[in-house]
Amino acid sequence: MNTPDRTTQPPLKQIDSLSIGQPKTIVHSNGLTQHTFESNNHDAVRLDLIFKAGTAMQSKLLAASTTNRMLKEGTTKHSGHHIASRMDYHGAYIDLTTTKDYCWASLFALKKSIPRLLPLLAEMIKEPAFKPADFRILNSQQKQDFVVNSQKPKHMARQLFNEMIFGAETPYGQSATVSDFDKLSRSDLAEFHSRFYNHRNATLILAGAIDESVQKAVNDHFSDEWGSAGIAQTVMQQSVQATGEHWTEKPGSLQSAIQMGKLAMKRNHPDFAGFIMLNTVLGGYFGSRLMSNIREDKGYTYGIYSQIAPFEHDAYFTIATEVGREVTRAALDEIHYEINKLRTEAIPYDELQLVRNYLTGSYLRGLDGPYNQSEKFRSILGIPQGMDYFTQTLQTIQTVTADELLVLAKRYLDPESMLTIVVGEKIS
Amino acid sequence: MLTFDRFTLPNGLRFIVHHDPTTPVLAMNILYDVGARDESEDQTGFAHLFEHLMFGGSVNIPKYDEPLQRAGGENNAFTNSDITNYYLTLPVQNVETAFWLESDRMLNLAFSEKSLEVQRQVVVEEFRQNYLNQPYGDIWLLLKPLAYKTHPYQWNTIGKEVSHIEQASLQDVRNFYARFYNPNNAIVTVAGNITTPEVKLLAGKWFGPIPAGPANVRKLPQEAVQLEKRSLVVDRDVPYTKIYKAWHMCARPEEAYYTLDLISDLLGSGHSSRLYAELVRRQKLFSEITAYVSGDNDPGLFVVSGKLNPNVDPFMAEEAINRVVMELSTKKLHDTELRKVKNKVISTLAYENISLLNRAMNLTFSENLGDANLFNQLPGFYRKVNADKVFEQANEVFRETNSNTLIYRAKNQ
Repeated sequence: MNTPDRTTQPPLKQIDSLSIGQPKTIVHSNGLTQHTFESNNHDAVRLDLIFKAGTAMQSKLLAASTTNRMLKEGTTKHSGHHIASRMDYHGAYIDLTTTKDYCWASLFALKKSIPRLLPLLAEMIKEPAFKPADFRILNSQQKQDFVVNSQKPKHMARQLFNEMIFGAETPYGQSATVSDFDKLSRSDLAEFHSRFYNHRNATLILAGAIDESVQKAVNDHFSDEWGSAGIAQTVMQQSVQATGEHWTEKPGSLQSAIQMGKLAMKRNHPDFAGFIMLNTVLGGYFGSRLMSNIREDKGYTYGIYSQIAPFEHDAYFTIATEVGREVTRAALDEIHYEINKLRTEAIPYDELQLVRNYLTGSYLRGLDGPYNQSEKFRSILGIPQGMDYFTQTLQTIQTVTADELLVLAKRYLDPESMLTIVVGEKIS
Repeated sequence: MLTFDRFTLPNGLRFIVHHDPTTPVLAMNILYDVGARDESEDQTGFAHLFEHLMFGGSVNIPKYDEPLQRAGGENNAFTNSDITNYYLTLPVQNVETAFWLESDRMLNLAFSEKSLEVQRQVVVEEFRQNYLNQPYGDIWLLLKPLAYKTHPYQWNTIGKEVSHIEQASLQDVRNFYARFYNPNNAIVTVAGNITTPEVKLLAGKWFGPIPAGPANVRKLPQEAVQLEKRSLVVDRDVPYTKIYKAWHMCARPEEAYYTLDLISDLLGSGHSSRLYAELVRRQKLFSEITAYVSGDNDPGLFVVSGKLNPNVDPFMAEEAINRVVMELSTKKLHDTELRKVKNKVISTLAYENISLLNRAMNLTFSENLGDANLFNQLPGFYRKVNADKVFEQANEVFRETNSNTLIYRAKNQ
């Protein structure tokens, strides 16, 4: 047996270029577009029915997310208890999600159950009952979650950040207060539903074991015309970003939640892929500069991350962490130090190579298998290149130079242009 | 059905290989058979602190994460009362980096004062972030010592108190490593587009030379049968009152575990469950309520926990929980309801198996319970549960004298 050389890393092999297939796309007779990621290796089906009906479209706070969550709580024909029992009986799950731009229902079920479950799913989407008693329970649950979250420094910081990065009066910056739960009524939900939940405003994504029986069930229940309204109007998001450091006192808090950042470019911007690199170097992975400095060298925090949050009509870049009360100022100084370093010194070749490899591996994982692919595809819905978007992004990641990244850092990461929120106890 | 091969190196290190030619990713999972239950009561939180130190550099590799990220990989780890588990995924062509990294930190750690000092602080911040600085964060810090009086499950993985972590010394770290981090106390699973002969070659090359350590014989003080109902009421600055009620139950490897797991589903998993239908939808006492089993290797807990609606008396709410739960010990269950929870559990196992990393973990955990193939037998074990067994276990477990109730009361109500 050969004795291993433990002092040097075994030679690395170049990762083959990713083969990312486009989904098969068809248009139903009612105009509904369906994208399919088919696989013979699996028994399960994932179905996402997506509507352009996010929080940015609501004319009343909480209407979008509550409408979406009420889909499970009962239809004109079946109770919420019946829906839940039936899904459980078939070992299926339905997740309901609302973002700023979209909301969707994801059904995860075994292939053989699909023909039995789609009638119920169609009913939930098309004929939710919004019964007052069910609405009262859900609304009070959501209100309680909101009140509990309002005590968490991280959530307080996140909400303030969102308000001040977009502007509190804008579609993206709006945020609810506890009294908004009392102002919401079931008729707001019925109205939101009738405006946005129709076949013209929807997209369907299927993944996994999609055979004829599954496709037939889909055709039977989703290729008709339902709902009356047309396509959702475009959201007018004109962000008004604040800058400077804003403290919210939380007496007795052992840690301070910090969130800082600024508006950023959207996905289709030519600098976006380069900005992904910058973000990763700074705070986008465990080996990032922020994590190495503030956690692994100083021990100020359990974790610190940065990320880019792209939406349809705007985007932001942000750094978030929770740090010990006593080291809040020191942590802020170190964050500034790392940002400025990125703006004044080119990223060393070795680090750049590492991040390229890390990101390539991360795309490899994120795009492995039909369910992951469909989820990635959903995240870029509206990007015309489809899955090629990821191939192109990876190409930039492989080729962008340290000098180009320095230019981007100077252009986009000026700390003076950033907003900083701190929630905690200020000590002098 | 998960296929796998198994082999053991002369130093006692066990390997499981799961071949999947459809994925470009490889997963490696390493379990060390040591958890918070192996700590002494004046040094709690140590197994978890140690998990952090495993990333602080090994004898030949100053930084664990960097070479892995350079290979396109990613990793993490967790500690619980029973085990410490490390896992990574990377592109399959760089598999040897995984063997190099993991064998080096099994061979010897770097033991630096600086790494210990920093990770002590990081863990203290983790303690604050997850347990002290958020509403309801200390519930398990209260519930575990209420339910356990002798078994080490009485403390949480994070530790009893921050001071235990602050006092850990480098000598403690060395002793812990020498005692538990040996090839004969670990299980490695490799999953992906790789064959058993390939894994054997790499395993022998990288892990073969690591000497075996002393056999780790576990002698834990076992919990005496509880004979009296225990209750604890605390007042906290939170908006809503919560109730946790925990009954002692069997250990994970026992047959009755599957019955109780199904009971927890039919009582309190999801919106079709009995507790939700009765206490949230019908009586409107709770805004949320769930039931679950702790699933520990030693005898564990069956837990019902719920958040009360404002102005509901917590003692009345506990009575309401009792009534729903006790119905199982008096009335036989209907087949349809049992079939529902069985279907759900079995399909959940199938969904879990979609992820390569989950497959690697589940095979490892099963092997640690005695046999990797246990995972394949799970659907059969759940199918065997019947109404009689449910009735029997409900009577066995849901006795008031076997229960521990924590009322976590909102101060201003």
